Amino acid sequence: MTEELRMDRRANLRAMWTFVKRDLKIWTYFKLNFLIDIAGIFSNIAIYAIIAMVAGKAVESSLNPFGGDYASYVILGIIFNEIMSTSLSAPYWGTMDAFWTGRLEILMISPISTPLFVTGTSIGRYVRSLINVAFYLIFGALLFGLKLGGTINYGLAILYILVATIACTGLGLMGASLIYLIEARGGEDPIRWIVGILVGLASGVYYPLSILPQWMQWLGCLIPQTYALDAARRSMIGEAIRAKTLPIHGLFSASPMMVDMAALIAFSLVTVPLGWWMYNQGVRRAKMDGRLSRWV
Amino acid sequence: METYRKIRRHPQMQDYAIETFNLSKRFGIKPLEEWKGWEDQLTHLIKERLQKKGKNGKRETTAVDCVNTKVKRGEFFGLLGPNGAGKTTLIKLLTCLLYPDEGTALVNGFDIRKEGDKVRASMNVIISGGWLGFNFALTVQQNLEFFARIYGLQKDLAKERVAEVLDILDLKDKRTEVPLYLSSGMRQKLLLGKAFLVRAPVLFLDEPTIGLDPRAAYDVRDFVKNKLNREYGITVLMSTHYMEEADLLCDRVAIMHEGKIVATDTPEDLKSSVKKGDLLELKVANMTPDLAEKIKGLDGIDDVVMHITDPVSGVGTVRVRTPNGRKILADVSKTIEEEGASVKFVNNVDPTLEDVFINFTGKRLRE
Repeated sequence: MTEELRMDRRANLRAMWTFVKRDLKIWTYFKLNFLIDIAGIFSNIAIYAIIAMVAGKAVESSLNPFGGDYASYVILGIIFNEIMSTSLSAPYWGTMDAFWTGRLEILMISPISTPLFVTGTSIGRYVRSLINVAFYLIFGALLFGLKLGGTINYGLAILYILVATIACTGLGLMGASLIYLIEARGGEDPIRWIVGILVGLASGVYYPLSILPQWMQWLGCLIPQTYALDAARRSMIGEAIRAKTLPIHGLFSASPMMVDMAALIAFSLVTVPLGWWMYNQGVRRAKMDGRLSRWV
Repeated sequence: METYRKIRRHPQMQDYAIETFNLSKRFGIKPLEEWKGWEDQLTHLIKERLQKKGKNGKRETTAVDCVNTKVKRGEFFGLLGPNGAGKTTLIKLLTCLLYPDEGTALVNGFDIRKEGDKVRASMNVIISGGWLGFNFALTVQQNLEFFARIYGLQKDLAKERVAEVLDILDLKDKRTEVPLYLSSGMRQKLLLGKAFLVRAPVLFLDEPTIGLDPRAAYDVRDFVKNKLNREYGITVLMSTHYMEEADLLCDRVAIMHEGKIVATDTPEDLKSSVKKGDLLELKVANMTPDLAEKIKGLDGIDDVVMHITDPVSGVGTVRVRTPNGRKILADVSKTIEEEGASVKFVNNVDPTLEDVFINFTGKRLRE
């Protein structure tokens, strides 16, 4: 009369889809909040479009490798960063939500594996992020003058963002591991915090790196977002495909796009195994000292 | 049904669903001096533990101490002990939410140290307050479907099981409501429904009726005992500090005290083991706190336990264990009268699991 359960690949996929549906239901449960989120996207993009109108001319010369139009430059930066910042924060917030809502122990005692737990609690955020990207593109193209041009290669841009997403997920796992390792449960962890500052200041989301002092440009080279933004923009609006826009480009004879890809692969090879190892160590430690659950 | 397959059993596990081997768990603790401002919140038991040092000289508390026990397949097994006895920690160890410091255990034949995934696939857990883990944006039906799906059930089977659960638990009318607006009894039923969705061979229940009104507690006990345990043959390990609950439901009960299992047997055998002589229960008014000590000083008294039920009027019970009740009753009554209290009635009662607990630990369950 009783039954024993084994999660095979198809069962894992079903479970994953269930997580996605649940997260979308939660996101749209409070209709007003959902609408406010969408309005937030509109206002965010409007602010940068206005800045582009007022001050775009000042940085025009620095934007030559990226088509020269500040509005397009910054809107694409925000769109690419939306996806990468989601992969940076999703493992942390997925685990945190599960912890504070009391679902962590319920999921940890279910037959789902730790990788499925991490993916399941994060995946809804990726889907939500893609929906946000769609709104950014619609508002950007229809209302705020997003112009794509030069040698447009959507596939290449997606490839770069995909590899960057993997590298950022590794960083995100490292950040999420700190929930267990140093009890970083207040909504911020040191890894995401440092990366977040570097992204804002020196990755080129909002302005080209060439306007920064050399040492800050090198700081930007320490995070994967910088390479992904550089290469993805070149794929969408770039005209001078061989222009060396990052200081690291000058060290190699290969094309800047190749250097960007090599850097992203190197980041992925380091951050994903390290992040995964740290996350597992965190779970192990939490299971040793009893900090995994709120059930007492 | 491709997700359900026979899982290899250990040959030695034919008869036992759970078996523990010197299972131990210790936690590092802050010394008492670091709890400034919290002193009023700490119980005597916790204060005592905060001052203890472990075998290795570190300040730590042993939550589970060398537990060796066996639970037969299909058995309803109870862990009885006061708060802080180590019941929940033992369940957390058996459900792989905690790693043991020493020893190990087999759940459905799988080692909790090495085969966590198989252990989790063999069991279900209902924790007190676990309803908080339900999704607030999903209805009762959607929540059950969510759990059915993350446990790997296919869509049709999941829907069929959910409909069955809603019917059996009398939650059909509430299927479109969100768990937040259910009564505490219904939330607990919803949790039990989760166990019924996936009929894993082993079910762990941690204080399943805590905070429930008597009617809801009755429904929960009835469902677990008659449906899950008797009808479906699910092995149940339940922790409780309600002795009546353990007495009523369990085939066997383990008495837990300070992390150790001090006795294991059927409730009847445990009670008969302490039935030496008579157990007098006196209902007394105007009781004073030192009454028990006065009675203990009389000849022919083995043990005295006093419990004041109404602190304002001083009404309560005094349970006196003695080799000969008839012989000492007059002396006990006289002592009570001398203390300004009055005896309302006297009963020669059978021992309860509370008496068993007192016999083994020297303390009351709710001390």
